[in-house]
Amino acid sequence: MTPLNTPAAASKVLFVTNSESGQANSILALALELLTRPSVEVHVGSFPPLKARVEKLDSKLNFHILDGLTVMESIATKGAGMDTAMHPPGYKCPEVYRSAFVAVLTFWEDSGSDRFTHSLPGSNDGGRVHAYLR
Amino acid sequence: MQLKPDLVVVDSFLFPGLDACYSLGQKFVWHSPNTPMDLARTHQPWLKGGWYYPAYVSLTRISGVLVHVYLFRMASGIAFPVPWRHFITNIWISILAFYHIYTSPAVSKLIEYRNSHGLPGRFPALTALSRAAHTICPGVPELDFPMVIPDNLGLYGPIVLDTNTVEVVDPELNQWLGRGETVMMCMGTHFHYSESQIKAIINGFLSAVNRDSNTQFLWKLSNKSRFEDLINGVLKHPRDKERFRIVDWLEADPASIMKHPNVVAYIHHGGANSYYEAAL
Repeated sequence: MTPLNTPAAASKVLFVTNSESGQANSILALALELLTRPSVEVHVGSFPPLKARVEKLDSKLNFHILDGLTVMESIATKGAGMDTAMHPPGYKCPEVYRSAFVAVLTFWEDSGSDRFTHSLPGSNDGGRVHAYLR
Repeated sequence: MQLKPDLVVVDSFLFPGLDACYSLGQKFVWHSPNTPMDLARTHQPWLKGGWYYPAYVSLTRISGVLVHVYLFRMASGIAFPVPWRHFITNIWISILAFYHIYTSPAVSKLIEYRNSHGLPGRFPALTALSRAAHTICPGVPELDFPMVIPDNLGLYGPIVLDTNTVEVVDPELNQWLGRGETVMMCMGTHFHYSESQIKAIINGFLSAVNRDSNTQFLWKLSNKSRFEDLINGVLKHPRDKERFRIVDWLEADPASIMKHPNVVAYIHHGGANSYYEAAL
């Protein structure tokens, strides 16, 4: 792979991330680091709650909105909030799979909108993420 | 909007992003903020992922069959190395987890939907490690279980946001930190405190500090205003009240706050970012 700090590697990098801080923080750290390299155009795609943070971090980061509910919003609509993720240690701990885990795993499956189909090829607009990639 | 990026970096939990890359043949790098064990449990010899390591999280593979799944953080409380008396429980937890997932209607619906739209396999994240051009992980071998690291999994040490020094971002906080040794507490954004937890934290801290010391407590408490009365009720004594600085949000990055020499301890929720920030 060509090192990113050589001019030959003039390139466009898109980071796509969930908007929850725990997932986004280290990806944003990487994105900021890439900005310091010459000839790299950095884009960040995420859900609306991350927009203000990204714009405040550095005006050179190009932000793109991904449509739909965030993971936390999605699991809240399914009634599978953090409370359902609590459990005693030991053999009872897989109970968490009944709701919280399944909700995270399938977070983009239904959100009232066409979130799920958005992520798939063949949907009306090819999906928002697809649109950015094409 | 057409970007045509040369490279896409996909967050480990942004599953639709993975599907988009798969279906377009887009070159991508997988990025996880978590520990290498979370990603490479399946890649351990002798299927150790299922029995040798305590059940707590991760991609687990049962024999060569395509039964992959993410095992969410389930905090089994089982120690490592797994004690003999917990050997069966440890395996049983993984089996039960599979059962719950694959009997879930939501999961079946998702898999069916993906498959009928030209996306093979069960969950997009299950094959990410092998399909990504590279995987970026902030792991440090010394801070993790002893394990085999797959070739395309790069461990880069802590990757944390540390944009500006606390003097620049929050001079007032910096001045406050200068008053004396400080314990910082910061749970994840999605942690909701109960009233009894708040009382226990304040009283626990006060009972641990030496009355004559300047030891103080910096606490990120989301929805602080909801607990104002409760806090004022517990912190009756002005001397006690002075020790606390409770804020809704920390303007400065935790990593930069910890660089202040007075910060002696960091209490956090065990999230990987916090873990690495503290380890730095």
